[in-house]
Amino acid sequence: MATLKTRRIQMYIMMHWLKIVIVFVILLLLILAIWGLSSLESFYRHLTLAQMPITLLLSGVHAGIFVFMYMIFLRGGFTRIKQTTIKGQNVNIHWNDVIGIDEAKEEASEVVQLIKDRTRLLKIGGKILRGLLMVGPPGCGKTYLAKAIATEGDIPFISMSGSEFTEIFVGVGASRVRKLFKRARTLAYGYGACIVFIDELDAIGRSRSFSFMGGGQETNSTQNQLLVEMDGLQEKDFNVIVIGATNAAEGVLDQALLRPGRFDRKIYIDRPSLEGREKVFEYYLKKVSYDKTMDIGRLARKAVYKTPAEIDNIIKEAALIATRNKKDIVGNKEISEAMERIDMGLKHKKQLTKEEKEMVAFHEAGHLVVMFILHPTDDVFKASIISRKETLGAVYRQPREELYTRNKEALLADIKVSLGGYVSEKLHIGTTSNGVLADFNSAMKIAHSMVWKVGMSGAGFVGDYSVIPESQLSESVKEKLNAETQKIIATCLKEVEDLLNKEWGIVQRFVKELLAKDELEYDEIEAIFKEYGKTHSYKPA
Amino acid sequence: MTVRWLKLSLILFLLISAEACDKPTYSKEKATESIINLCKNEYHLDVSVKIIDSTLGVLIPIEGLVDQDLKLNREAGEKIEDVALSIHRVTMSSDSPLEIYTLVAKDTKSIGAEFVLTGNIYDVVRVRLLDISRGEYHKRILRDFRFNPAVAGEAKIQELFAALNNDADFIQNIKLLFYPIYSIGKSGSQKIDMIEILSKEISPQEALFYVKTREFYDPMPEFEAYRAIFPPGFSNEYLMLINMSMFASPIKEIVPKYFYSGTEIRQRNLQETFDQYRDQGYIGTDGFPKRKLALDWFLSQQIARRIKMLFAEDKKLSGRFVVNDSQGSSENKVFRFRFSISSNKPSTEDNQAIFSGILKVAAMVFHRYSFEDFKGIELSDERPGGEKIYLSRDDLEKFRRNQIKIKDLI
Repeated sequence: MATLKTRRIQMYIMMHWLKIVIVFVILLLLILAIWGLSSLESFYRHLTLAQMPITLLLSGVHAGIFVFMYMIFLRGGFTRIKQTTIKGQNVNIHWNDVIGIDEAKEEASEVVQLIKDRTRLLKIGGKILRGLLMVGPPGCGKTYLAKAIATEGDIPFISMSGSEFTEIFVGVGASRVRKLFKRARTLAYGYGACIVFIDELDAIGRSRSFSFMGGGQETNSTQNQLLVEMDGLQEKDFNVIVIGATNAAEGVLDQALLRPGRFDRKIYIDRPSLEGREKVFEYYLKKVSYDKTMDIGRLARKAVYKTPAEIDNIIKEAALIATRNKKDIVGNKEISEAMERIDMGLKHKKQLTKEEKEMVAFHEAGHLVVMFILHPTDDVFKASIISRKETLGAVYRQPREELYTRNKEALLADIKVSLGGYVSEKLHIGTTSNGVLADFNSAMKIAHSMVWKVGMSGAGFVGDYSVIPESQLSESVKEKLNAETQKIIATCLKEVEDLLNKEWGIVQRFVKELLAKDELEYDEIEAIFKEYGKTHSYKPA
Repeated sequence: MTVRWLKLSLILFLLISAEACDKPTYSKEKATESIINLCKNEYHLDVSVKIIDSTLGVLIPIEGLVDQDLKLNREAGEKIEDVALSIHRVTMSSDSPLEIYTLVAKDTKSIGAEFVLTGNIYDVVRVRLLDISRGEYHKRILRDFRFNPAVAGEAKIQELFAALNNDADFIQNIKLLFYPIYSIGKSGSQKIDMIEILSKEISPQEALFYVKTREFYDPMPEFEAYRAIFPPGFSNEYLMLINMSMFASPIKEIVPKYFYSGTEIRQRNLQETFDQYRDQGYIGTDGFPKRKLALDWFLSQQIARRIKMLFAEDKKLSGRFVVNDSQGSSENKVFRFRFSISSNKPSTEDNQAIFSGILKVAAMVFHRYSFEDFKGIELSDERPGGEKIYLSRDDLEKFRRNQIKIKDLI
């Protein structure tokens, strides 16, 4: 078996044979040109040399026009030249740079180990790893992880986006897949292994469609070629690992692509946990000058459901805000503002009358007090009566940690929070505004769902009644279900009215503060509640 | 990467450019030899070459230059082209300071028949560089297909003397022209040896010959006393005028040195008379240029020929005028053009049209050659009562730029 060095020379020749031939031909032509020139009479030699610059220029222009036309009309434009190959050591993203997705990282490290111990694996009789599918929301570090695998495995890394394969011409995508794998195999021959990373795999990996009109034929042929290439890998003595990344749910991808032997492993890369977010904040904050006294834990709590990419964006935005505010370091205020800007959009102050503004303040204060005192899982982190987009004011809430289910108490609390604004308005001036529309919509949806779908009514209706066709559902059942829905709303409304009547002083205090400051941060909100001896009803799950 | 390619391109460029710094293919020392070898090796033609200062003369003897209908033979034409190409190749790739070339193709059968091609070497370069069109290039070349009066005349003179020595009947008709031996010598005792023959072309068809002879005779008894004056083997001289337009008997006039005036024997100074004539020909009897041919001479000849072309080819002028003669010369930095152009339908505006046309041609040629080494131009109408005008170089340029109108000049 040839040594790795010899193989790399062979690989170089395989990869660059065309360039070598072109250089050889050019050199040969040059020698012949010099020979030919020296055999010419001096006048014709001078004449030829004098004409050479313009001849070369014209040849260049002609060649340029030809290449341009060829690329535009026959090869789908210059965009095809996007395939990038980088040697593993040049990718320069290490395990330490992948943060917040520890579980995925652990699985990936196993893959790296398999790549490194491939010879041993073959001896044992184990199967070669051929595909690794990374599924998860955007911005969670799929590309990062793939790059880290390339760096740690010290093997070349070819990156392409799924959309780069698609073309209006049938067969172009398939041809690109063939070329990609040919190149990968050559690199794997020289370096022992090679990673092909296909980002946005769903662009070519969707379930194939078969239409008699011929629609989707290009995507089908591209995917077929990908399937063939991934199968073909086992026949070779060298390792090409395909890493696919997609935001799409697994069901979207074609089953043939997901079967063992193609994408053998699947890694789910989800949004980071609280601990993960803390690490992510630490990682990105290190890249800017920041206030070391900041509570990173609190930042992580505020950034529930945020992906690493979003956190990176928050820090970048905060740095910009700090610069704009002529501050040397990024502090809590800047990060908070950055989060708002990213989440809620820019502030857009509307000119409200004093009465309108007061009404909005009472409305938001109602929400705020109900949420703080009654909600078992969510926390309020900001209250504002500054209009943004379509809203005149808002109370920003967030679960204290990632929750993937909501119990009856939480849902009832959601309804109560929604009704808080309505009750507060009513208690203040004895009437209400149409600002409650969205709140009622939300409250009614939750209550309806509790009764009709998830069996949370007090009347013993268990089951999802919404799946029963309306014609098969008796009027009496419907009436009872709707009555139960209304009962939940009524009960919640009563509870909210009692609460706000009791804590009206706190509501008025918040109204006063909001009218004075327009916005209240979490710390200010918590401080006011403490003044009144109130604590959060948060109950860890 | 880019820098590396740039360096490589620079090296290649220098490598190729180094080819241009090479010495010329044909050095000036070997220019003559190069033309001879080129013609010999590539076209199997034997040529003779002579360089006079900056003028190159090439001679190629061709058997059957002219057809029976006195036209240039096709094969001969091809040979001339081959030789011309050889001349062009050597002169263009040489450091020899050559300016004008002549190529003479002489017919070895028809004595005096010759094809003369005269050109400027820089014109050859310019046409190769597409600086001038091929049509313009052809107009710049002087082509003459003629019977050289000097060469043909010399042959006729030699024939004449041979006849004098051998044909008694022939002598009777012309014996008075060869005074005194046929007047005082016994019949059949005369013999004339031609010692020297000099010729001058005094017009395209005419040549004047100065012939020196040594004459032998046996005097008749009554003229025995003449032996003291004309001892046998005495030296004699003749001037002979040959006109090739009189093809059947081209010897137009014979003037002997000695003549009997009725009372005494008198003699003429023929040498002096011969010297007074100006040789207008530029190709000698040997087929080479008689002297260095300069650019001003070349331009004067070219313009004279272009005048003929103008009146023959221009749609407005060709039907209206006929060029009888057009001669050009350059002396003391003044160009002189003598012409005789007659009108088919004479009118008062003829002169303006003729002079204007000639001036335009001359100004255009000087401008195209960027030739400024002259003082002025003189045009003279050779017809009886014809006008003569002179324009300085600056005025000619102004005329070219339409700053002077022809009506201001005539």
